[in-house]
Amino acid sequence: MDRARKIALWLDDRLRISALFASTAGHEVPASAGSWFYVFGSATLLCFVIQIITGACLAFVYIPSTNEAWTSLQYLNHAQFLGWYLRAVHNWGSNFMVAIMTLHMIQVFLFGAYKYPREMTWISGVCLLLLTLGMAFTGEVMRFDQDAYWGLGIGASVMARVPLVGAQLVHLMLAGPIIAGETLSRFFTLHVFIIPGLIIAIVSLHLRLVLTKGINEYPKPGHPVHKATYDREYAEILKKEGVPFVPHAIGKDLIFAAIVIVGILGCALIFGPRGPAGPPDPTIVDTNPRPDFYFLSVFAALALVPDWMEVFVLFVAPALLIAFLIALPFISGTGEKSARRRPVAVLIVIFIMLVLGVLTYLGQTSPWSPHMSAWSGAPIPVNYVKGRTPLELRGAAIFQNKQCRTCHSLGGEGGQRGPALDEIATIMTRDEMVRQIIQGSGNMPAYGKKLSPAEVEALVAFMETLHPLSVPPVRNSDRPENRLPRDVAMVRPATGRLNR
Amino acid sequence: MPMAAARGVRKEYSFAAIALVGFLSLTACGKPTERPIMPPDVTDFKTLFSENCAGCHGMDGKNGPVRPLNDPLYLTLIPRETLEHTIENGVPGTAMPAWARDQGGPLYPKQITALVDGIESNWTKSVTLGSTKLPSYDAGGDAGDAAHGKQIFVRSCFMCHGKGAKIGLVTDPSYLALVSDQNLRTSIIAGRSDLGMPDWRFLNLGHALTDQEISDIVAYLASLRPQGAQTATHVVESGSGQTGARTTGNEGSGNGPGSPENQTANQGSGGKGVGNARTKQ
Repeated sequence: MDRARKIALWLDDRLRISALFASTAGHEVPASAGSWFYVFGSATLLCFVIQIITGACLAFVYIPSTNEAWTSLQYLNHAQFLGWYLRAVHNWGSNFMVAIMTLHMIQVFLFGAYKYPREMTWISGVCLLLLTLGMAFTGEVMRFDQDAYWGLGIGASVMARVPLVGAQLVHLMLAGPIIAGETLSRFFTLHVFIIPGLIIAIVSLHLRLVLTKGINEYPKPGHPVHKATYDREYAEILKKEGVPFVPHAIGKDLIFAAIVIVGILGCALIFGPRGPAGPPDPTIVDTNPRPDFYFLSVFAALALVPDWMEVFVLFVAPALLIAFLIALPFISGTGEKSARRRPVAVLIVIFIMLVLGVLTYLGQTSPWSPHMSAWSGAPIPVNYVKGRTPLELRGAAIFQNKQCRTCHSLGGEGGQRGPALDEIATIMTRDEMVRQIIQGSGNMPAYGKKLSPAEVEALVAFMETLHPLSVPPVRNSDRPENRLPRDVAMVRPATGRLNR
Repeated sequence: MPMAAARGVRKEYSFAAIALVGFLSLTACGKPTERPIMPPDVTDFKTLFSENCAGCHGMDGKNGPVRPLNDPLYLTLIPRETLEHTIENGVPGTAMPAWARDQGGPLYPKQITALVDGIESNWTKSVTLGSTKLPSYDAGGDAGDAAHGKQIFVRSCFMCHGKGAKIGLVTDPSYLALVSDQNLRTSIIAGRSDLGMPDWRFLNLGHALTDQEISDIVAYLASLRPQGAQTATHVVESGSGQTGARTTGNEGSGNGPGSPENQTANQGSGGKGVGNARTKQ
C-alpha cells in the first residue's frame, strides 16, 4: 500500500496531475452557472469524443477507395458483427452533435455570454460550428453512395460559380476535373485528419478561454455589462458564491451526458445507420438524392429561390452570415445580458429557427420535385374507377399514361407541382379543362400537340367525374342548372356525365 | 433461509438481465436487413408490379381503369406468349406502353419474365366452365359481320352500354379510338370481374355468345371507330407473328414509358369523329 502511494506521489510530482486538475476541473465558477442551461457545451464535446471513438473504429474497416468504400460499408452493415451498430452510433452521434451544438449556440446567444470579455470564446465557437458542418458534409461523402455522389456534384457546381477562379476551386475540391478516386481520398483526409485536428485545436482554445475568462454567470435582468466594471463584478461574484467546477457544477453535466449517451445509443438501436443508398453509379439516373438533415434547409432554399437570386444565396448570404456571427460580440459587446431585456435577440432566434425548420421540412418533403414514377406506381383511387363509363375509364388510363400524375396528385399520391385534381370538376368546366390541357398556362405546359382529340375527350370525361359526392360539378352559366329531376340527380351525382 | 433469499434475488437479477437483452434485441429494428438493389436487378414480382403496372392495372391487379390482370378467366384465356409480348411491346395506339428495354421501356427481359411468372403464379386459378367452350383469345383474322354484330349488340349489350344506360356508351367514337379490337374482344369474353361486367356466358339471355358472335360485335364496334384511328388494324399476334408485330410496336413507341412524347399519328384523322362526338352531347 505504501509503495503504491509512493509511486502515485512520484508520478504526480513528475506529471503535475493534481495541479493540473486543481487549475482546470477545480477552477471556480459562479454557483449560478450550475444550471440546466449550461449543460450543452459539455454535451457537444461528449458527442465529439464519441465521434472520435466510433470514427476510429470505423476506420479499421472502411476503405477510402471508390471501388471499395461502398462495399466496405455494406460489409459493416451486413457481415461485421455489430458493424451496423457502430455506423449507427457514428451517424446518430453526428446528428446529436449538430443538434446540441445548435442548442449551445442559442443558449450562449440568449444569455449574452458572447459579450465582453468573452468575444474570442464566441468567435472560436463560430469556427467550431463551421468545422462541425464541414465534418457533416465530408462525412456524407464518406458513405460514397448516390446521395454522396450527387451531393459532390452539386457542391462542385456551386464552386464553379465563383467568378474567375471557379474552375480552379472545383479542381481543388474534387482533386481533379471529375469525381474520382482522388476525390474520395481528399475528403477522407479532410474528414479524418485535417478537420478533426482543427476541431481539437480550437476546442482546446475554447476551453482555455472558459478557464481564463470565466464562465458566464446566470444573467440577471438589470445588470448590464460595462467594460470598465465587469471584470471587478465577476471577481466579486466568484468571491461571494464561487464554487469549484468539480464536484459542484459538474453534476448536471454528467446527468445530461448520460441522457445524451442513452439517446445516441437508443436512436442508433431503433433507427439504425443511414444508408448507404445505391452505389455511386452516375449511369443510374433513377435516384432521388438529398443531403443529410443539416443541409436540407440549404437544399430547399436553393430549390426555391428564383434564378437571379442564386449567386446571392450561394455566396453573398453565407459570407454575410459568417461575418455577422464573428462581428456580433463587437456589435453588441456590452449592455443587458438577460434575454428578458433583449426582445430583439429572442425574436431573431425564433425567426431563424422557424426559417430553418420550415426550410428543413420543405427540403424533406420537396413538394417541387415531380414524382416521376407516380404514373406507373400510384394506382388511380378505386372510388375514381368504380361506376365510371368506358370512356371515363379510358381517360383515367390516359391520365396515367400521359404522366399527368408526375405533377398532379390524385388521392394524395403524385406530384405537387400542380394542384391536386381530386375536386377539379368543382372548379373547372369541361371547356376550361380542354383549354387548360391543350394550351397550358401558369406553370403547366401545353399538351395540345401531345394528345389526340380522342385522348383529350377521354381525359376530360374522366376529370369531369372528379368531384365529391356532396358537391356538384360546376356548369357553364349558359346551361340550365339541372336537366334532370332532382331526385335522379341526387341518386347518381358521382358521374358528371349526367349533368352535361 | 437467507441463502434461499439471496438465490431468489440473484434469480430476479438474471431474469431482468435476460428480459433486458431480449427487449433490446427485439427493438434493434435499426439493423439494416435489405441490401440496396439497383433497378435493373429487381426481380421481385410485387415490387415490379407495384412500381410499373399498378398505376393502371390497379393495386393487386384489379380495380384499375384498364383490364384487370388478377382475373383467372382472363389468364386462362390469354396465351402466355401473348401476355409476355404485350408487356414487351405494348399496344400501339392505346395507353399500354412498351416495357422492354429494346422498345424504349425500362424493363430487362428477366424482369418481364418475372412479371409474367408472377402474374400467372399469383392469380391463375382453375376456372370451371362446365360444358361451355372458352372462345379463342384472338379472332384469328376472322372479320366479323358488322350488321349481325349490331343485332347482337342491341340485344345483349344495350342494357348497360346503350345511350343513357347505366354503365355508359361503348359506341362512343372517342372510346373506340382508344381501344384495340383485341381489347374489345377480351372485354366481351372475360368481362370485368372487378367492376361487375359479366363474362361472355352471361351477356346473352339463353346461351353463351359464340366465337362468331363475339367477332361480329367487335366488327360492329370497329365499324363505328373514326376513320384512321390506328388501333383498328392492330392485332397482337402470338407465336410466329412476333417479328412483324415488333415493327408495329416501334411505330407506336412514342407511348413508351421512357418518353413523354406521344403519338400524334391519329390526331388529324381522328379529329372528325371526335368533333361529331362532341356535338352529339
